[in-house]
Amino acid sequence: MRSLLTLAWRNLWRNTRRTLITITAVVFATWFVIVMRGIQLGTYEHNITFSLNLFSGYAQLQHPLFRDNPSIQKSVHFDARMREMLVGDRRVRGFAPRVYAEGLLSYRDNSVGTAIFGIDPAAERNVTRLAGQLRDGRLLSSADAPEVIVGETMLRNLRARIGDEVVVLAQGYDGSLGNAKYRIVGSVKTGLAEFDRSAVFMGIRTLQELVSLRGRVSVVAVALHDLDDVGEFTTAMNARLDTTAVRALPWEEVMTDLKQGIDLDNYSGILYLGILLIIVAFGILNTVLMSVTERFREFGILLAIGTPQRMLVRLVFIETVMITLIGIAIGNLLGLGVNWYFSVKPIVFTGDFAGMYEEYGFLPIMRAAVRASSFVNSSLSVLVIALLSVLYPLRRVAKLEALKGIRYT
Amino acid sequence: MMLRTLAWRNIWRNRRRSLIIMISIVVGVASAMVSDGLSIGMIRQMLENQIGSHVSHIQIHAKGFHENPVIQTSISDRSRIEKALRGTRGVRNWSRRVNTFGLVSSALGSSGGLIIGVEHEREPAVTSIRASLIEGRYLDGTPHEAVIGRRMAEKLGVGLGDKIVGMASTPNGDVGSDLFRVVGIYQTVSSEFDKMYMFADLTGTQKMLDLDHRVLEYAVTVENLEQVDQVKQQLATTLGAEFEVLSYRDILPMLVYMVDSYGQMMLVVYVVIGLAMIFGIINAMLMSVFERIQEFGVLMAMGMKNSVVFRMVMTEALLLSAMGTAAGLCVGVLAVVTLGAVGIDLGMFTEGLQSFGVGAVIYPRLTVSSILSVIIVIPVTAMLGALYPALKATRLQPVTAIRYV
Repeated sequence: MRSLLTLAWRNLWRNTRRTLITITAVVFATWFVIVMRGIQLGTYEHNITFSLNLFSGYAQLQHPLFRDNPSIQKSVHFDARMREMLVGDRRVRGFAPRVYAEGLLSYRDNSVGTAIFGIDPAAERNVTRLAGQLRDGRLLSSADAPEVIVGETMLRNLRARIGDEVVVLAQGYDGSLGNAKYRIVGSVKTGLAEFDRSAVFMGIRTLQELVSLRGRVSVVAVALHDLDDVGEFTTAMNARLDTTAVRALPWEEVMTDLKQGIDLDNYSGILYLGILLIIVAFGILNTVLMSVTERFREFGILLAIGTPQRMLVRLVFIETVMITLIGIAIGNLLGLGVNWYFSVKPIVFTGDFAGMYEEYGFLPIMRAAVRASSFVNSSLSVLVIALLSVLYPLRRVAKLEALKGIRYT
Repeated sequence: MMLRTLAWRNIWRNRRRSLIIMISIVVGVASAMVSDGLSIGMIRQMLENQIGSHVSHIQIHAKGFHENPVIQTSISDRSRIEKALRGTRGVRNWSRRVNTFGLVSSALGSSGGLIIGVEHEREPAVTSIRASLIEGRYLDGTPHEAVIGRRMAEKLGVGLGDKIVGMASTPNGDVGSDLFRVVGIYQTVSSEFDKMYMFADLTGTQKMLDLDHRVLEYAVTVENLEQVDQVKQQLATTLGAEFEVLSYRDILPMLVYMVDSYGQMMLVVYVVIGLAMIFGIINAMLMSVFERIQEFGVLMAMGMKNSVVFRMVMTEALLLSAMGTAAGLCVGVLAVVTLGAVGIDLGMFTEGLQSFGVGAVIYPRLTVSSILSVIIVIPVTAMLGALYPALKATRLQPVTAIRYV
């Protein structure tokens, strides 16, 4: 075996140029796959944590039917036991009960349809970054103050100012219409066009009063310390909750659009890398085949003097593995460099290109993730594709006859 | 001429090697074309769906409505617009609308939405909502009837025959409201749209909103989409500064930008694929050159100039890549056209695609830019890859080359 390795290694450097070019091809493929995967995964991760921290939370407790029909009737009773479960869970960073309603907001001659969110300002601080999105004015002073914060676009469209009074009209739990006057104390800008155009925030108790939803809430948004804990957390919660009345949903099920948008992009990226790898595979196939046919005479002589055929096959196999491993190693190093750079210094798009990202609901930012798994997976796929491409040359070696080999021109 | 024959024969001296290179080019070209067609098909579908379900080709409003769509910015001089529409060549159909943000509610729930008053005779000629009905019927001019989207119906918990209340502000700031009976439920490819848009009879909506005979929007379709800018320009000139005339390009700027800039983005994709191919080509050409060192030595000793040797190797690479590209184009075009007719069902992503307004079935499209990218990028990268082997061949010394083993 030792001598076989030495032989293979020497064979590689008999045609230095060809070996180097083949290695370069493997380096390019590995590097490109690693960088592209790194950027894809990093960008998804960035988008996910951004949107989850913006408002939805990492997981939500809600009525089992609320997701498909988010009406005020599908509310839950957030009792002391549930509260304790959340407080006692070490994974939980914070949680915030909320009421969601829809209504009409009027200011002077104008009114607009709105999504109304009743929040507890103190609890929200541990869950979302909403406070950081404040553009003007101040935050809600308490959960029961007659105040609202509105989306920035809405404020502009209404031609209203901070300090103005607006009337909010919404349908209550019992079907009756409630309306009341509130003062605008601030405006938020999230960058999500629909949110900025239609969102209204008020104290959770203020909204419970308006829609006569005493003590009940629509959802409890839960933020965790680590995104990877979401699955574990929801399973643990659901095991202890009465799931006919309330269920813990992971973000994938709350933000289905985000999840599927990411899946779609992810799969199309993988498809593209697959195409690329196939092309590289043909390149490897060709070089190995040529290096093999060039040596048919040599192989013929080796066979004639009694070398077992298996050994020749093994030799060619080892040569390819060596080339591939060297290429993969260099590719990994280069990929690590690039990914690390873009994880520290993400690319931020501006202008029309940024708008295109926003159209898909993504942030106009490209950031790489440095994750061991993406390096391992990329390296493995390059290795597999290289080994597949060497099958045909190996077959030719395995079928070689001594005399035909010697006479091969 | 002789050079070409020579190059051609050289390619076929090692059939297997040349075929493998060509296959790699064919696979690369064809698969790149399919994924290209798929992406452009998706973006175009998004744009066409938006145009077809509501936006239409051209919209006319009173000045400022697009920027800030409030009910006060209404059109009172209807005859002027309608005269202009009749007098403009290239206009196919048009429809009057009242569209305003409001609240739609049932006994069970409520939902913010767009309340759109339309004329039942004219609107179906402009948009496709009537064709998208999945239950019930379209508006027929009877007052107090509404057609809503499936998602809105689910959210409000209503079905055919149920009553809903529409509410929106009137020009003087009161809240106008009216009762509607759901007569039809539609479903487009956009779940967002189906959740937001409620359609009712124009006259009834005008009454509810205290608009008299004023409307807020004219939706116009043109005969030929290529001429949309000309038609828009002509309408804008006829109508003057009191009105704003917008084409779908103004209303959906991001989608239009995506369609427009798509070719450039795809070019990058083709270049990367070309790069992946280049290593195979360098290696193969290099080997074919080294195999023939003696031969080159003889040719040079007989007086073949360096430049001719160079051209010969380059011609080989060009022929090889041109054949690969041509075959790849054939396979790619065939694949895209077939898939374009059948459609690719991406049912597993339906929800994600619906929120983008694409639809579950995507029809890949063949574009000129995709064919051009292939024709330009692939042979050029092949030539770049052949440059080094060809230079290598010209550097040979005839005397040593002849003796090369």
